[in-house]
Formats: sequence, C-alpha cells, structure tokens
Amino acid sequence: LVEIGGEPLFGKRLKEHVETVLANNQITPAVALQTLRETLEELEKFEAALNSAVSAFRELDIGDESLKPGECEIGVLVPRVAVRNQLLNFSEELKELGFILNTFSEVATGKPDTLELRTLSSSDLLVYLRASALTRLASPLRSNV
Amino acid sequence: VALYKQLLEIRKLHQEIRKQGVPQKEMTGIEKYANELMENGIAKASEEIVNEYYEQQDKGRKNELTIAVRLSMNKIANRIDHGFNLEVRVEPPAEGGSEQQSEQVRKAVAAIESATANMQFLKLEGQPLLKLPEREEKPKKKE
Repeated sequence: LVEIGGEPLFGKRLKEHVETVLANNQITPAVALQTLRETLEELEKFEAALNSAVSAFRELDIGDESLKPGECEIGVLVPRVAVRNQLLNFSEELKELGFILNTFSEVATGKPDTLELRTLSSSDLLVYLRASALTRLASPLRSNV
Repeated sequence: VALYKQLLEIRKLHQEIRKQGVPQKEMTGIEKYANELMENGIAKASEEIVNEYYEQQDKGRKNELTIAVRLSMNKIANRIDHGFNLEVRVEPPAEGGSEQQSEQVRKAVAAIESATANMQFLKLEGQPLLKLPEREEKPKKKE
C-alpha cells in the first residue's frame, strides 16, 4: 500500500488526517468540509484505479494463486543480492530453507515434509511451498512469539 | 514476531544514531545488545515450541530438536534482517472429520491467520544487525 501510494488513504493514517483537519478548522467547518471532500475524491480515484487494474487482469486472463480448502502455503523471498545472483549460492539457501522447515515439520508431525513446490518466481527469487497446517502452527512466526 | 518488531525499532534507532556521526566503535554495544536480545528470546521460544508440539517419547531426539529449532530460528532471524521475507497463507478446510480433529485444525488455521497479518513484507530501515549462530559450537578438545 505504501509503494502504490495508498497508505494515507486508509486506516490509521486516514483517521489521523480526518482528526487533524477537523481539529484545525473548528471555527471554519466549511474549510474542513472542502479538505475532506478532496480526500474523498483522492480515495475514489484510487479505488477506480484498483478496480481498473483488477478488470484488466481478468480480461488478460492473469489469475491468482488460490489455495484449496485446508491447504497451507509458505512463501520465501530471497533477495538476489543475498546470494550474489549466483545459482549455487541460491541452491545453498534452498538447502537451508529445507533444513529449517523440516525441523519444524518433525516437531509438529514427527516426520519431515516433502516440501512440495507450488510456485517459483524469478524476477525476485520467490519460492512458494505447500505446507501442512500443523507444521506451520509449530513454526516460530506465530504471533505470540 | 513481537521480538523481531522490537529488533526493528533498535535497528531504526541504530540508523538514526549512525546518521548523527556516532563512531562505529561506540555502536558495537547496541549491536551486541540486539544480538543478545534475539538470541535469548529465540532460545526461550525454541524450548516452548518443542515442549508444546513434540509428542514423541524420544528424549534424546527432543533435545536434538530443541537445538535444531533454536538454530533454525536464528537462521530465519538472520535472513529476515538481511532482507529475506517470509509469508504464509492458509485456506480454512471444509467442514467434516471428528470434533476433536476439527477443533485442532480450527486452532491451527486461526494461529496461521493471525500470524499472516504480522508477516507482511517488511520494509527494513537501517543496516542489518544480526549475526546469530547458525551452527552448534563443538566443545573444544582438551590438549
């Protein structure tokens, strides 16, 4: 949202903006109204741009990667710079990833996982793996860790 | 995640202090503190994870896995600090199965969904700080 310029138009940032506009224009509500109308216009423009992008993806038959019920997926982005853009360094990183995920798999299920590949992206080195939901449950990225 | 968020704050402050021209040798204390914070937090979390989820009776393997989980978490933390990103998503299963199983899966799905919100791609500020150990140190042989 930050990168596509939408952050000020949503959530906390939007709330802060509205509160500031109202606080700064207590004697001149018409000015506050005008400023908030401009914000609304920006939001509507942003929404229209997103809707156009979604329509274009649909028209061009560019789909998304959807999961079947009960499926779980882990995605890992490896920065090219971290592997110096070299295949063998990347393969070492994949081995490390295998060690990490299979450690958690053994803790959760008593055995290693096959770590089935779902998707690979090469612009950024991005690997998506199918994972057992319970393996994921035992991983360190639980929100309470 | 909470632990790493704390580290991100330290990393941001580290960057600010560096910008103010504080010499590198004066910054090593911050780097050491950040590494110790993560190392201790991970050591505690790895024991909790193995105690909670490892159901086999093999005590030796349990100890090995506690070490492996700690090293794995160190590896993850080092990598995220160097710009790697992890994300996870899950599709809730269709209804069915025993009540106990459904409850277990429901809890698993809820835990994943709550983690997903905290694992959005991070825009890191400042330089990497972590150099957590990724291998178990072998005890030195007596001369």
